[in-house]
Amino acid sequence: MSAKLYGEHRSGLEARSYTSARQSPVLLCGWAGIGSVGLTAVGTLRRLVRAQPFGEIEPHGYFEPSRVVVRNGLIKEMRFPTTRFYSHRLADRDLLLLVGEQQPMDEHKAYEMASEVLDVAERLGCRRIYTSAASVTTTHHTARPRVWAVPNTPALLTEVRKYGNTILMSEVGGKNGDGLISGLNGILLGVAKNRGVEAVCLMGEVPYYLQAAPWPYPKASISVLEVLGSILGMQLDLSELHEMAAKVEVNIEQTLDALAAAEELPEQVKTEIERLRKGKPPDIGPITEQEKREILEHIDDLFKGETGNES
Amino acid sequence: MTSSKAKPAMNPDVNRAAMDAPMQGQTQGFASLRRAKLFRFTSEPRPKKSSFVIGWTKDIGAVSPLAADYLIKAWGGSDFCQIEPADFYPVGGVTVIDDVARFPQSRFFSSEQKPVVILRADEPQSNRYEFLNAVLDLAEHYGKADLREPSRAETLFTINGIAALTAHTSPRRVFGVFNDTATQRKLQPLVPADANWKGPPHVSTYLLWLAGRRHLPGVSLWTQVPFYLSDYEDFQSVKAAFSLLSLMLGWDFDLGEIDRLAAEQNEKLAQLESDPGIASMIRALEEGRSLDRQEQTELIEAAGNILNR
Repeated sequence: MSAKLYGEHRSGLEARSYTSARQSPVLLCGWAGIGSVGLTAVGTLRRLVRAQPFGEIEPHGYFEPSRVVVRNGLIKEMRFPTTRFYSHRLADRDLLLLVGEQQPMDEHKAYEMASEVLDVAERLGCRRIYTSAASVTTTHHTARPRVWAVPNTPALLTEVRKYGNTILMSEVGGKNGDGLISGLNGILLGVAKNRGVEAVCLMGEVPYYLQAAPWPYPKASISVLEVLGSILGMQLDLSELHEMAAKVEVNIEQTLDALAAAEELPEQVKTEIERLRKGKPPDIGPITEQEKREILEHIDDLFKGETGNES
Repeated sequence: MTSSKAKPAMNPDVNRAAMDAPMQGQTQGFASLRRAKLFRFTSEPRPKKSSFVIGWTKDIGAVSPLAADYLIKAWGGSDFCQIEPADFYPVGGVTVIDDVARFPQSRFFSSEQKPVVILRADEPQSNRYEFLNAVLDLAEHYGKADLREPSRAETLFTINGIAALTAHTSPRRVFGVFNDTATQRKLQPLVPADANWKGPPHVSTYLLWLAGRRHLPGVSLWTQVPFYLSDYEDFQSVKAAFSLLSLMLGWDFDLGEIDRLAAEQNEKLAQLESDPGIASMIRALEEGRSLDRQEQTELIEAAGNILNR
């Protein structure tokens, strides 16, 4: 398992001196996960700035092949989930993007992948990393998602507090500043910390009842991108994502209507669906441990019979 | 692995003769394999430009395991090595099937009579990339003419069944999948049908692709199994795969036992004709017509009732 930088970009990137006129490059990472929040955010940014691919993490030891093409008896192609690096030059700095179609299932492999990402980042002189993901909360799908921000060093707290529409773990009632970030987004923060590289995880809020939904949640990606755009001083045209978010919202409403009409659901689930259909409560707090337990008990009931593909 | 002594096999029923066999040339042998620590050798046959045949334990129509078993039996094969299971299979306990405890296995067999190494294995459940590359390490090692030769490999064969809307009374077609054009040109005249497929790869196809990356020529033989025999041993399909493999290897086999078992099974399945409805479904399949879901279910149940007796 290793990271492979493409030939033509490799020499160029390595040859650049980030210590002279330009600041160190910034790395933004987005992997597939709940609501495809991170993947959609970084993938959209990649498209908007037309970032160019310059390398990838070789997938073979991390992932199973997802598709083979056999034509006339010959293996033509074996496709694996990609974890690809892109770059784009801004006025004052270089932007590095990492778009991962999948996360390793095994935590040791996830750690190894995070280490490889850091190897590449350090090789290119990167001293700041942002990862983007989802935070599952009791927010409502009609509300603007906030962005939970977790830095990997106390020195970054002052800076993070200045980000708009952002919340720290300590500002969430009952959390006392404690929590858990699972998966690559969390591991990357830890590996970066051990290597003295600054990193911040930005997590867009996703309503708890949509965490297992088969569609993306672009509203949370928009929130994450708004924060990133502000940090990087970039004006981003997010109209495409807003359109997508509107469609998803209609889809959610239709699903809730259909569920409300279903007869076989337990009374407790029906009451919850009615509450969701009526709109969000005025002050949505974080998800508590008790709520989490109840949600996990009933999440299957909410989406029974719903199928589809994450896009 | 650096020890020059044979280590005891993990399973008590490991071939004793193989365990007692003299170890030859270990210092230049398996210890030099890239993933030597993943293997547990009980003896070390000399490399002799061996072809490699893979038989997975579970398969449609039991084609893969039966073909491997017949090869081992036909050539007096004995096991000489296993892949340590802990990295690739759940090893938290044993499963009990038909009153007998089962544990994941991946055994390599060699033959004194023919230059062939056969892997009889359960499909790995995790770290498949590492497992399959370990298999290819061994294939390259035994593909050498002798230990002084750099790693090379003879052809790798995988054998599998594939469920098809065909009748048990029809000949079994065998499809070939190759991992390079040179092997395809060489062997394709022997394979009656080309395969086309887009979708998730079977472990055999993954192995074949990895072999191709290591310039190890390989072919997967996919033998049609009537869908209603998928959960049973389909000896006709085994015979079709076995016959084709013997053509490709250029070696003769005594097919007497498979013929007998296939005939016995056909005799049983002939009872399906006593039900006019089932008989008409079989005619439809013979004529290349499809069956709807309900008909397929009925045929599966009817075949099961006969074969489970």
